[in-house]
Amino acid sequence: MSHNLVGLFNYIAALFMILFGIYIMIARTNLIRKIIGMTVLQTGVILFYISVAVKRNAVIPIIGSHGHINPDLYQNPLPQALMLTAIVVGVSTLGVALVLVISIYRSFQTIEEDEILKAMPATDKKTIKQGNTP
Amino acid sequence: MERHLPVFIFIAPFLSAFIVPFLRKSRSATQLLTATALAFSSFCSLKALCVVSHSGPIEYALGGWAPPYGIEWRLDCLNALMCFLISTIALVVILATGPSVKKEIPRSYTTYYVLVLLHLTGLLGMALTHDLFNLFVFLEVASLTGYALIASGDSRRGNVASFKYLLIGTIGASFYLLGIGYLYAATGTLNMGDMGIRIHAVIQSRSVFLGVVFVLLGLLIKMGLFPFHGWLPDAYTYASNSATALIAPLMTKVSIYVFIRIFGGIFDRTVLSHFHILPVLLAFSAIAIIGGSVMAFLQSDLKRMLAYSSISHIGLIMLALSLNDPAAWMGAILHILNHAVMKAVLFLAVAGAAHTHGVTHLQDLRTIRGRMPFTLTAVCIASLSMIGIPPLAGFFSKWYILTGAFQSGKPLFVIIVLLSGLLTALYFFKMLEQIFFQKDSGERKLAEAPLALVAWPFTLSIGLLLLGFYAPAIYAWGMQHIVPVVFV
Repeated sequence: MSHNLVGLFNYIAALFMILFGIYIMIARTNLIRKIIGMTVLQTGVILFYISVAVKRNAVIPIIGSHGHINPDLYQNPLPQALMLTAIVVGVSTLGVALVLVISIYRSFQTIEEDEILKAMPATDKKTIKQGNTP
Repeated sequence: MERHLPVFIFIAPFLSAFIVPFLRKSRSATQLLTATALAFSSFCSLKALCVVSHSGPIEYALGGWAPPYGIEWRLDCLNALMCFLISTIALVVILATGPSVKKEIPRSYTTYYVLVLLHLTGLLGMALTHDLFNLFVFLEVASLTGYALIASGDSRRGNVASFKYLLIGTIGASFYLLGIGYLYAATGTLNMGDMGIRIHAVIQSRSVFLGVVFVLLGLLIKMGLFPFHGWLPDAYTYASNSATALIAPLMTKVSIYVFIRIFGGIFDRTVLSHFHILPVLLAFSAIAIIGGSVMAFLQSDLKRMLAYSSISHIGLIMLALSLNDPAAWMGAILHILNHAVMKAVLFLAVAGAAHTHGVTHLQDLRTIRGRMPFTLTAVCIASLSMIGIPPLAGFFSKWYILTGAFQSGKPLFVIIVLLSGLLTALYFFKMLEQIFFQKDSGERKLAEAPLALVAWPFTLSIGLLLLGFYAPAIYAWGMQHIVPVVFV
C-alpha cells in the first residue's frame, strides 16, 4: 500500500510540475521567470520518466559470472539513460534561452515582456524606414 | 556501400559543421564547403531513392546493436524522398543566399553556416531515424539551431520572436517527450517498427491514449497548425531573409513528415479515429486554412503574408492527412514537396528584392516592376502554383487532395479544399496586382539582384513546371511505394 502511494505521489508531483511550469511560462511577464517555468516543465517530464523506471530493492542490470538473474529484479536502465540525454538537451535549451534574454536586454534595456511589447512598435517603424531606403 | 547510404546522407553536413570553423578566413570557402556537403547528401538521397524503390528499405543498426534494442535508422521511399527534398532545397537556398548572408550577417558568417549545417543535420536525422527517442533528440537539435538562426538577423524583434518560438517549441518538445514516455511505459520499446507490433495488444489502455494525445500535441506545436501557430508569423517575419528562406520551407514540413511516420507507420490509421481525434484535427485544419488565408490577405508585410500563407497550407496538408483516404494522403505528401519548393522560390525572391531594393512590403513591389523581370517571373510562377493553376505543380497536389476528399465522402471538406484554392488566389492576386496594375515610379532601368539570388529562384520555379509535368508519375510511384508503408 505504502509502495503504491509513493509511486502515485511521484506522478502527481510530475503532473504538478508540468502544469505549474506551463502556468509560469504563460502568467509571468519577466523573461527569466518564463525560463524558470520552462525548466520546471522539463524537470517534471524527467521526474515522470524516472518514476516509470523506479523499483524498490532492485539490482543493477548486469549479468554477473553466476549467470541468470531474474529480470523482475532489474532496475530498468533505459529511462534513466534517456533522461541523461534529456537533461543535456534541457541544459542546451536553457543556454540558448539565456543568450536570447541577454541580447533582448541589450537591445531593449528590459526583460519585462510588457515593456518590450510597448517598445516594439517604435522599433518596427524604424526598420520599415530603413527598409524603404535602398 | 549501398548498405551505408543512410549514414552517408547524414554524415556529410554533420562533419562539415565541425570543419567550417577552421575556414574562418574565407567566406566563399565556407559557403562552398556547406554547399558541397549538401550536394553530397542530395546525391546520396537520390541514389538511395533509386535503391529503395527497387530493392526495399535499407535497415541500419547504429553501433551494431540489433534493433529493437539499439537505435535503428531505416531508409524507405518516404524517408529517401524527404532527405532528397531537405538536402536539395537547402543546397539551392545556400547557393542562392550567398550575397544576402554577406549583407545581413557581415561578421559572424562562420557561426551562421555552422548553425545551418547543424540545423540540416537535425532535420535529416529526424527523417532517417526509426527510433522515437532518437527522433526527439534530432527534433531538439533542429529546433535549437532553428531558434539561433531566427535570432541571426539585425532586427531587435528577431530575438523576441526567437525567444517566443523557444518557449512554445520547448513546450511542444516536452509534450512529445512525455507522450513517448507513456507509449514506452505501455509497450516497453522505442523502436517504431517494434512498437507498431506491440501497440495492438494494449491499444485500449489509457496510457496509450495519453501518449497519442501528447505526441500529437507536441507535433502540432512544432508544425504550427492552428491553434498552435502563435510562434510562426513573428519567427518568419523577423528572422534574417537568408534564414527564413532556409527554415520556412523545411522545418514545418519535416514535422508533418514525423506525423505521417508515427500516425501512419506505427499506429495503423484506426488509432486516430478510435480515439476520436480525427474530427478535432479536421476542425483545426479547416480553421487553419480559412483563418490563415484571411490573415494573409490582411498583411502588408511580404514575409508576414507568406508566413500566414504557410499556416494555411499546413492546414491543407493536415486536412488531407485527416481525411483517411489513400489518394488524399499521397496528395498531402506531394503537397509537402510542392509547397517546400514554392515557399523556397517565394522567400528567395523576397530576399533578392529586399537585398537589392529594400522591398519589404506589398506596396513596394510596384517600384521593382520592370526592374527585376526574372525575379518577378519566378514569383509569378510560384504564386500561380500556390493558387493551383493547372500546368503547375500546386494544381496536381490539390487535385489529388480533392479526389481524396470526394472519395472519403465528406462534402464539407471538398468545399473547404476548393475554398483554400480560392482564398489563396485572393491574397496572391492582391500581390500580383501590386506588381502589374499599380501606378509605379516609372523607373525602367534593369536592376536585378545579384546573379545567385536571381538564377536559383528562377531555376526552382522552372522546377515547379517540371514537378507539375511529372506529378502524375510521382503520384503513381508513391501510390505503389509510399502509401502501402504509411497507410496501413
